[in-house]
Amino acid sequence: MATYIVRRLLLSIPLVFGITIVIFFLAHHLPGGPLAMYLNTASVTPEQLQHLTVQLGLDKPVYVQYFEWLGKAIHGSLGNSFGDGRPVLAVIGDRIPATLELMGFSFALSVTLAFAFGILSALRRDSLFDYVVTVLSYAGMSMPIFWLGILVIMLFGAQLHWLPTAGMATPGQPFSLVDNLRHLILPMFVLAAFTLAQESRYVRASMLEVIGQDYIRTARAKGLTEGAVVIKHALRNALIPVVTVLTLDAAYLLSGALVTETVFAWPGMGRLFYDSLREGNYPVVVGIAVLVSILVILLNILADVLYAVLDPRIKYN
Amino acid sequence: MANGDLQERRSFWYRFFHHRNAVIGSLILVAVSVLCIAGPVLWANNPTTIDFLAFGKGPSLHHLMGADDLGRDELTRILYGGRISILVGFISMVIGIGIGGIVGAIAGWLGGSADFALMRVVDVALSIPSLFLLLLLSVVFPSGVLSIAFIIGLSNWMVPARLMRSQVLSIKPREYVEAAHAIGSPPWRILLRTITPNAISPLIVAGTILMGQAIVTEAVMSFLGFGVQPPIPSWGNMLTNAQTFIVSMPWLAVFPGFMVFVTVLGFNLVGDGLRDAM
Amino acid sequence: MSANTTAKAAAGVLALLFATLASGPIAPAAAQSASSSDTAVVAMYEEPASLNPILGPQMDFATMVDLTMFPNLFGVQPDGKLTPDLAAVVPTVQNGGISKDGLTYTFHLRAHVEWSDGQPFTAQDVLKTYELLVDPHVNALTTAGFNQVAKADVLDPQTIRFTLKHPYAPFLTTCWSAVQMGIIPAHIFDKVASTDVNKTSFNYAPSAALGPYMFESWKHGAAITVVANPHYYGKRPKLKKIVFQIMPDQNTILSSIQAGSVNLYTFVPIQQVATLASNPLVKIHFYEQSAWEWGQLNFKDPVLQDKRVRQALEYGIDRQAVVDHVWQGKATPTADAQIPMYWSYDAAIKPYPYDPKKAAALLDEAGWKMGPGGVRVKDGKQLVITYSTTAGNPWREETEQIIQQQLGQVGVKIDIHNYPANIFFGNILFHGQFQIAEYEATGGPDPDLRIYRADSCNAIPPHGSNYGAWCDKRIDPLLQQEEASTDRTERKAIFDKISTIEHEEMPSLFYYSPKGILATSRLEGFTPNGYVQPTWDVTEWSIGK
Repeated sequence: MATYIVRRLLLSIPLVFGITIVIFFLAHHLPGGPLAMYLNTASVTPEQLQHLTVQLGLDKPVYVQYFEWLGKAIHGSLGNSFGDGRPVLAVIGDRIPATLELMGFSFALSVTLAFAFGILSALRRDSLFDYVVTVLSYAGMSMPIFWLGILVIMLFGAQLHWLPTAGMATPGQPFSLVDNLRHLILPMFVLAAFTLAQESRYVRASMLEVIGQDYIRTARAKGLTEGAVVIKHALRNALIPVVTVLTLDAAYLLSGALVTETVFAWPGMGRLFYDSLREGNYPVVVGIAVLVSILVILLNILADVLYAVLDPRIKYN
Repeated sequence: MANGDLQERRSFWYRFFHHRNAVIGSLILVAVSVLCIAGPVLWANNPTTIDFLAFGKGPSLHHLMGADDLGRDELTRILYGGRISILVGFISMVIGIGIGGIVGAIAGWLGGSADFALMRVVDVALSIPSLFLLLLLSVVFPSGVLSIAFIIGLSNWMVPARLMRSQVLSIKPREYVEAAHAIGSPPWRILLRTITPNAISPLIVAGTILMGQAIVTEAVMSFLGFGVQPPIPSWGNMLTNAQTFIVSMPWLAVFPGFMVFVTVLGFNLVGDGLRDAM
Repeated sequence: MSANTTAKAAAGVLALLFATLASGPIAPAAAQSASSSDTAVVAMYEEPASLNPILGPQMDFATMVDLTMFPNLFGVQPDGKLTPDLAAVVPTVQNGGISKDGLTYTFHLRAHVEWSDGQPFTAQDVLKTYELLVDPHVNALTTAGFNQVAKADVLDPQTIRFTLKHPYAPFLTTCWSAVQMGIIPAHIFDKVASTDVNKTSFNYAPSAALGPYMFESWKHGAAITVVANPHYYGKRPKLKKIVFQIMPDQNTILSSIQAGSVNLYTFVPIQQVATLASNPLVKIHFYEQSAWEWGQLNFKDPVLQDKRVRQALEYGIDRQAVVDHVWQGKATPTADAQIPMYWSYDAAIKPYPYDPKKAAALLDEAGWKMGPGGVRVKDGKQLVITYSTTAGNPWREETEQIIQQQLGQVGVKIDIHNYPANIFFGNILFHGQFQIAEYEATGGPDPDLRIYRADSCNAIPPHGSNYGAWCDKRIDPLLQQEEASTDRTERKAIFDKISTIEHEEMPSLFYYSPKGILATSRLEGFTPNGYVQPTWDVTEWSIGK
């Protein structure tokens, strides 16, 4: 197993290189660019633009810029933001806790509810409950996430005034956990909608498949309680395919967070990415894109490893 | 052989139409298509005519879905916009499946280093935030509905490529393929005549779901400022414009979003039905 | 059945959690009014790039924050008059502050002024600010006016003298008023190499301030907080803190200001005014501002080089309809690049009336005859003009579609191609890749700055913002005369001449000057000011019930 993991990790190194190259070149050819903000400013002189170009290192050919960036990246620096000149890792680091909070709660929410709904609707196949869950999960999978966000803001924010719809805390007030969690509720549910819907479908399908198997019938025949059958036998085996989906959903949440954070003004990494993209802040754009891509690769490896751990029939050599 | 084919096809449609989700999904899609194609003829209004007197009027008998911020009939724009959105979805699906199918078939058929190289390209392309690709391609191509469809297609070929490759890999060692080999058929002919028809089903399923996603992607591109240009309506640009009026004219956000939702739902249901029926 | 009960329990706990948090011990409205009455919350939908007042790019929200911490030598009153701030007096020719030839400016600074870290404020700070702005290594906010300086001499700790290369009438307003920037501390920047100014920590955590407030914290992506500065020389501000809350979505600002959790909302879209007006907590302020919307015409395009075509376009657009329907009457149609709030505005020059017949006649005269499909044709070429602006901007999209319909009626086909803002400004405008480009131009308190930048033959990119590359040889000599004079009557006469030429030549389609719109909620003591950012009189603010 250890050798398998090491091999997978080694194999992903060239992949990461490929990704950095593509991302770097794409980012540096994005239209607009970092100077766009200066071009509509009072009396920008050609000299000033020239100095800016040199300061930001944009005067060199892109491949030279890439190798300089790579050299620094290997030593743990992703350059400095074009905005205030802070190191990119510090800029991103500021936003990671917010994104982790949103993603973590959304993930926990969708997993918990997905298992609850999935198992129950599998056990009570074709019941009213099963129908409702099925309809809701199709709805959740088909709902454009930003439209859901807008609807939720319209309903809970603008109409009912139940919950705050922006930011992580009430402006001008000292931090309080309750306040923070109240702000979390709407974006958490919106972000979780898709994964929750998808996962409950998977859990349900997986459970249905397992329940029909011989060993479950045997277990039942042995006189085990229904709870024991479900938990000990059915669930364990049903878990195997679901785990893969869960790991991949974590990757989905990363991109879903971009939309959710923008709609709900959640000060996380996704919104930072969107803002930096609009401002042509290349170092931050590249930094986030590379980090996220690496995370996605790691999650993929994790999915395969978990699969192997859970399913004794699979052997990796 | 032909007879067997027919048999199989018949039972496929039989299975499809006895699949509850597939039927509901098909009904939704048929309804949406009929409305968008025939609707503008029946509900004869010009989607771009500005009416100062109807500025921001809510739903009424005269304007069933209200009027927008320039007094244009929202229902008319929804119906015309649907034509654009569905067209974008369809073309981009064809492009995505086409490119993905070809890449996957080549990789799976050739195997070895060609396969390795192509699949690494797929890996890299899949790991890059799709927003990047969309933004960049948006500037490379001239503006227009077809360009947008093209761009979405070009950023959506990777999953079909993987699907096609694994299909080809699993079919290649089968007897009838080896038989075709043995009688000396050229590789392209085997690929086209023997393997593709057998590998196509998962692609159709993927295509159905891709089409739904492409309609959402069109909306995202509008949100980023690269959508269908005014005054041509699409569900995406209508939804984007509606954001300023969420409080003052909520119907502008509700209806186009609902149409996107229902259409995507239709595609997902049909996709499910196809998967189960195949 | 245990799975069943577990799930039920889980759902129950969640529902409970949701219910407690949703209804909560404090309802949101109550929470707002309970919020401390010594803090004002200002909504910003863009995050400043830095808090260093001399660094670019120019961003309204950065200036808004900076103004509370970094005053300049002169403040600007809502009527455009300069008042002494860090300077003790406003120099004039009469009081000897400005030499008769308009070349030397002597500034006497206010005595006993301290930075928030206790260091004295002296002429060295003013000198340092100037030096860094013109330093090529510094990513300066602007060099306009500063590049006219020949030398700067500190005469004593309270006096500094600037000698200009040429007379430059707008020197005080453009360089040393609250419009653009503030003074930065020499005692801190003397220790920073000029090559490091762009990335020094002062930019995101300024450690010294001169204004009524000083920096407290910047939670990136969330909020910037400034707190009352005990060393401030002037009147103690009434509020202890100002929180600049970053809220990228305007709908959330809208609901927050209605709930009273945001006290000031700037750049309110006209479309939200009706919603806001219905809320008893909210007060809406309309004020004249130095901004105007126009459609720049590209003179590299042969079709638009024909004056008759340009005039026909202006006649063919019903700008009053745009003002009435898009701007709900809260804008004034313009006749040229001068706007009502400027002292140089000439009310005698009237905007072109909406006259489609005249437009048609002019187009006929220019050889564009009505062709098939209602589109005019000349030499086998259709009169199709591309119209660009920033995408996703509701009032611009409304305006351009109204224009498209109206010009369509006189046989001009308008194709719309909008771009995201950074591409529009960075690629399309700057590189002249447009036919008609609509955007909002802004000027300072002195009418010179904008005209000089947009209408001079010397301001064609990359030398300025004359994006349409209009070059009329009569303009530049007039601009030179105007800048050399310190007498307003004389300057106005010259501006009138420029306006007359522009009114005739139509280098851009002049649309309207929109009123500034601000909304306040429970904020008292606030006065809008069309020349400077709304934080200009922050010491007067207080929070009502």
